[in-house]
Amino acid sequence: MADILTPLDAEPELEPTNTDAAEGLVGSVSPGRMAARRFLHHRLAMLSLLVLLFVAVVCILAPLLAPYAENQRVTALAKPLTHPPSQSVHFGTDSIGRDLFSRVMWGGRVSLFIGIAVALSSSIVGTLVGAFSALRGGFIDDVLMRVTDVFIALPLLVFLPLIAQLPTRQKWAASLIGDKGSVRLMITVLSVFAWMPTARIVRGVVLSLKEKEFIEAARAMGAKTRRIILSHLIPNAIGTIVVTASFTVAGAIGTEATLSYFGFGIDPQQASWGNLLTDSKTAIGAGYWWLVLFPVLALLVTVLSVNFLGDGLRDAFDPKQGKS
Amino acid sequence: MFRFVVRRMLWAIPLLILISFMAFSAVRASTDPVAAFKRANPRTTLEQLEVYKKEKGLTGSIPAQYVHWVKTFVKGDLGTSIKTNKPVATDLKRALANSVTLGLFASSFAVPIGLGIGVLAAKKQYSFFDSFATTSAFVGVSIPPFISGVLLKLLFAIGFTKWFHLDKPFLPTAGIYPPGHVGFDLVLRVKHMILPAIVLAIQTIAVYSRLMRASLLEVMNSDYMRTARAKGISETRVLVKHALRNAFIPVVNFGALDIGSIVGGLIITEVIFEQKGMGNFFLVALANGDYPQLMPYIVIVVISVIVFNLLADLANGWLDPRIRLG
Repeated sequence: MADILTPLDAEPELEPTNTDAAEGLVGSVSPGRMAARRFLHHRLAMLSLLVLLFVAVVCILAPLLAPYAENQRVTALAKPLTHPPSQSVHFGTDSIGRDLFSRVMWGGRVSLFIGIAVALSSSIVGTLVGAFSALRGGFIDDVLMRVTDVFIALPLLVFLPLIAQLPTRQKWAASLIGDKGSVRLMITVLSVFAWMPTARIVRGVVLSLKEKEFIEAARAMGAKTRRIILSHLIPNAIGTIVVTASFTVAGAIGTEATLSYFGFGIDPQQASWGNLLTDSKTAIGAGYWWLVLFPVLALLVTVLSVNFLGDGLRDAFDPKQGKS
Repeated sequence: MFRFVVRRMLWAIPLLILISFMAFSAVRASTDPVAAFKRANPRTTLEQLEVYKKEKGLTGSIPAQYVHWVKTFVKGDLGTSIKTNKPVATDLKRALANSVTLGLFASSFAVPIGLGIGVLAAKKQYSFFDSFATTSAFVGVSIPPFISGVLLKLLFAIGFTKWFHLDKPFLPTAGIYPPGHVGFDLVLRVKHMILPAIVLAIQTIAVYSRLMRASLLEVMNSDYMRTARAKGISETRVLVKHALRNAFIPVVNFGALDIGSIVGGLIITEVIFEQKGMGNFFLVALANGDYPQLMPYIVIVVISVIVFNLLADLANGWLDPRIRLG
């Protein structure tokens, strides 16, 4: 019942990351260095990072590593097209005889790219909206936050399919947000529904930072707004932004798979983890378990690793919040 | 308190108008009712088409069409489906009943379990139980619900039948009754809801236990808890009287929103287990481009989201007097 795109803990405690005060006077180690050290000691997060790096490298290098091309049929037409996993085809073949091992790799490229692109674009939009809202205050703040509320109130799974349908009928939409079934459309659509948590969190962080003494001190010494934003606000808010973004990556990968599974996602010609699962829909009755198992494993391992990574990052950036 | 309620309610009205207009534009831009009408009635003449367009307010600009639609909707006229030519209201009511039944059934056991786990984990922070509960909740939240749904369906529809040599699945994996069944049968109905409810429960238990734990831990570390303990009140009393009441504020808030979302249908679960609820209703309507079905659906969903949002705010104001001033 919970929204699937909303990152875990959309609104953590809005404590700025003033780690100096929390950790006491530990020599002259910078807050960033301390965060890095805490992160390296987070075993689960480090493990997740390694797993993720492995998955990412394997997928990115698919053109070199994959035994077969994305849509290449490997079984002869006369034989049954679908084979269980064997020596030659590690993950078996799909319903029209393509090598599943290669397709999981090709699909990973698309899924990972979507996850990262959505996290990036929604972080940028969210940060801009949140920071602008907090710095300007007053009427603009009110309006922007109401807009954020509207987007949070919109039922995600109702509007996503609607927007995903848009380019088939509206030419202007196709040129603006991409053709139906394209990766670009998927990224746009998911980003539209992913920036709100970042906006709220950044607004909270900036609002509380704005009143801090060190900002006042900087102002008193004659620092311009630009300098305050660049050298004080952003470095202090970046931890929270990165943590939220990492949860968005996982959410976007999961939502892409969900939408593709229901036929509103990426063009079925193109492999993505969601599309691989869609292929498996018809194969379940026939007992082709490998068609479900391997894409699900790839997706779950990735999503879990990204989330554990985000969890580790949160602990590293904000030790006061404790484990949750 | 009265002023607080009124202010919140006044916010809801422009919000409803804005969102329903956005929904209307989105629906009209991405589906074509005229084409859908032609598909459903292939032998329609051009004149009939014109009459149909006029009757349904499909001429003129989008804002004008929106006004026309609002007028008929407010009168309680939901129109007839393009595809089936049946009144939308009956189908919508049935779908709503199915969704709410499933949602409440799942919540009725998942929410108490989740809250219980959360309270226990917070009471024994850093214990084995706590780390086990926290980690599994984290995993539970991370798994996209459609994956647990597909896996569960696979396991029950094929896995178990094959391994244990059963002649029919252990639990039904589709529909709300066996095909051809007429009338009401409690046992069959519940049996058909078990698997989808488990999928929902995984998410619900995970989310509520995390929320409850975090919220209770925050309360337990506050000063008034120390004061209460210093007064010599028993630990149970401290927990129940002082801690839980305050710790429930965010939980109630979230719970209201969560129940509100049931009205929109548990789209993923319903489709996988063929539950014929609101989510299913929506996807079928969208596939048919059936705009007389789509619009009431979206508006009802949005109204429920807004109403439960409002209820969440009111509950907050009631539980936490500090908020009322804001």
